[in-house]
Amino acid sequence: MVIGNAEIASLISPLLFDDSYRFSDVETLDRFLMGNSVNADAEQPEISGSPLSCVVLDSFRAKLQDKKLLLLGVTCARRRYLVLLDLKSRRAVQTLLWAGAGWPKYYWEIAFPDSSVNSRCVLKLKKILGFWAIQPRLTMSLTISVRNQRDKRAKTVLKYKIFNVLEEFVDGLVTTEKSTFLQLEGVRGFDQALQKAHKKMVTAAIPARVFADELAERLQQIAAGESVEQPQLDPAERAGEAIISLLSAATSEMLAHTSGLLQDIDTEFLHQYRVNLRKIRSLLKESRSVIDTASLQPHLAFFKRLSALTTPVRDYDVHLLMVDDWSRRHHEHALVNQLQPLKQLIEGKRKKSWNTLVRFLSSEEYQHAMTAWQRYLSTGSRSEKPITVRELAARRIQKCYKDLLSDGRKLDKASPDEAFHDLRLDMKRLRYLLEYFAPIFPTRDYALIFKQARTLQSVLGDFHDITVQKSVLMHYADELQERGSTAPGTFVCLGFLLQEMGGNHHSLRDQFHDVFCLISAEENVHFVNELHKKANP
Amino acid sequence: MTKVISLFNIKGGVGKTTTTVNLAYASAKAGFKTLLWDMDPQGAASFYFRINNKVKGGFDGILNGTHAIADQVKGSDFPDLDILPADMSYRHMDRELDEVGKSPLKQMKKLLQPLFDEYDYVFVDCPPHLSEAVAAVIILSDLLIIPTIPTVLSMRTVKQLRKFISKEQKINTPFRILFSQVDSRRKMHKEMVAYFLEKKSKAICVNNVPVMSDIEKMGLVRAPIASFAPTHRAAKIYEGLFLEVVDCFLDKKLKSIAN
Repeated sequence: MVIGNAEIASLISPLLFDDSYRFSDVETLDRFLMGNSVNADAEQPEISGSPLSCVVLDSFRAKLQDKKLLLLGVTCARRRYLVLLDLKSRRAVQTLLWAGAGWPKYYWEIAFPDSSVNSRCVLKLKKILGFWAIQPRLTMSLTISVRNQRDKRAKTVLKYKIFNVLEEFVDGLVTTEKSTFLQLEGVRGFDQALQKAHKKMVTAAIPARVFADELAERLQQIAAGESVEQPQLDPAERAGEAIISLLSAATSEMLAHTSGLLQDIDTEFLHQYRVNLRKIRSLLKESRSVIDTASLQPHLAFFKRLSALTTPVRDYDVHLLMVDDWSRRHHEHALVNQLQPLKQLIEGKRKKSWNTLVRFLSSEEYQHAMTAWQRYLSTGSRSEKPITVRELAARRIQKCYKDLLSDGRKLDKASPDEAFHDLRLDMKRLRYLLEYFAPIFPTRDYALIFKQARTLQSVLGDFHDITVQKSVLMHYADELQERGSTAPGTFVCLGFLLQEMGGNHHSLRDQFHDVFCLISAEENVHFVNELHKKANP
Repeated sequence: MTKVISLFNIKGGVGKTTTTVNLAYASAKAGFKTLLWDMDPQGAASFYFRINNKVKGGFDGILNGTHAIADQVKGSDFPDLDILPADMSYRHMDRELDEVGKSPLKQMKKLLQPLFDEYDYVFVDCPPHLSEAVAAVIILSDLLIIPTIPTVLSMRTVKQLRKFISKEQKINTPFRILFSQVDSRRKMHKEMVAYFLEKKSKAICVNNVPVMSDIEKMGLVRAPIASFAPTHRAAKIYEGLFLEVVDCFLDKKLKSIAN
């Protein structure tokens, strides 16, 4: 039996979005149907010859659901389909046959038809997922049956569509839940039978919510279990206390990403782990005046070591992503497969660094250090300096902004790469400061300068990545040459990659000038000075 | 755009109703939204779908607007297949139309078009006499299928009918002749079918319906044959016949692609 995409969508959509009645179990429903003389000979819809299995596919923290999208993997009659549903408009927006083994891991593995590539929901999905892996978050198996209510002529006057759903959470605690849904389908010209059945349902069934809302709620629960509560900063709070709560949040974020990192689900877990690690290190650096630094030394050393262990793995991740991205963009290129030896070389190196990192993360040393750090956060001594977080924030932001301007103004298009690298460090400091203390300054001007800082950091980050990656690629080329068995095509591809980067490098220098002009504008200088004056009268 | 297919012959018992019921089922099964209008007051098509041959207010009620025609439609037991049931009042259709005074064609068009537009295919099971109302329905149709038994007399009737329809009634609806109740044991049936098929006349349906006892079982089961015997030869024949109907409406470009 060949089932089309439309049939799958028309099967899934009513279950998820149509009003239905819920019964505690199949037996109760059977009793109800028998009591209402509903014909016992059940009619199996063609499509459900075998039970259907559905997988709700979403990222870590169910980001798709958060933005009102639902991606379902449906297995039916030995074929697999992907159904993208819009929870806002309550409809299936895209259904496609999935021929791959397992389910897609990243959004770019899904071959959306040309007609839908630029549709709102597909673009939204791509933006939300980014480099996050698509994971099965919830599984369901369901059987569908239809029973007919017939009149004395044995004519069908009403159809009862019954969905038996067995849900299973795949995350954390494995819990299962059975649900029996009933939907009434009227037959044209026999409206009375439908009205009567609706009346009877009021007493016989449990009022059911739309199933899509229930699924969304389950995903929200999953996401809540993976999320970390962000601290509410009070501008008048003592700076030491506020910094500790920011550090605690960053630590919790780090820990929340550890499991995914150890399972190597995708590169984002390590990336987010490192982002929070950097936040901790940077916060500690910026707040030396308000927290007790004497007892911090062992923690600083631990975080430095941790950072050093994660850096090579992240670098290799970036290189692999870069090679994959190039391969995807040039998939029609005859030489694209020749990049395989390079990929294998990087993967081999990554594996070594990865093993070292995982060994450390699984070691007792790591456990002890993290426990000690958490103990410090909960009980460690705070400085008694009578300074508020608002004062500290404004002071640090002004200092950092001044450093950035003085270093940035020295640069021109001919400046060496190292000078841009130094400025990138200034920029990172400022960006983090602006991010940490954003809740204290909820103004439009602050949001604007923060946005400009992010843009500048992104330009400088890309610039740095290319500078480093260029030399790394050259290094890889040397290694491949030493091996001797690499095909010439691989070096040609490497050449293309380098060439493309060179082009981007020049364009980034031009871009830097434009973005720096924006962030160093007179209004911003005035705003930062005012911020400081108001906070430190 | 809706396609209306009428099945008509002035001779009774040639298989009009059986063909209409099975064609409508094949259409719905193929996923098209389909309506079957049982225009024959005998109500045999309605009977096959277990629907009472009764229309609220009769044809008069529909015509004068006291009962909306759309409210008379009944869903069948099969997805995408609805029935507009028969009613004994259809016997007086001509008289009712005449009383209103306007041209029967205009009145029928005004009455039926909004309903027909809801569907992809509409099949009309016409009664075995050529009244004004039936002529109007044939004019409104996109295709006329004339089921006939392959005998000399039947073919003569078809010829007379064609002449009468086109010359006297000035009806130019495209038509197809469908050989029905073909008995392969009868020499005349065999020769007649073979003769026309050999001629490759476009007016003859390639598929023909043989005499089969299982087709007669439809009256007992009260359902189209493909619904209770989907692999039966007759079910396949009606399926093929429906494809022939679809083919009539394909434009030339699509036809060449399909071929």
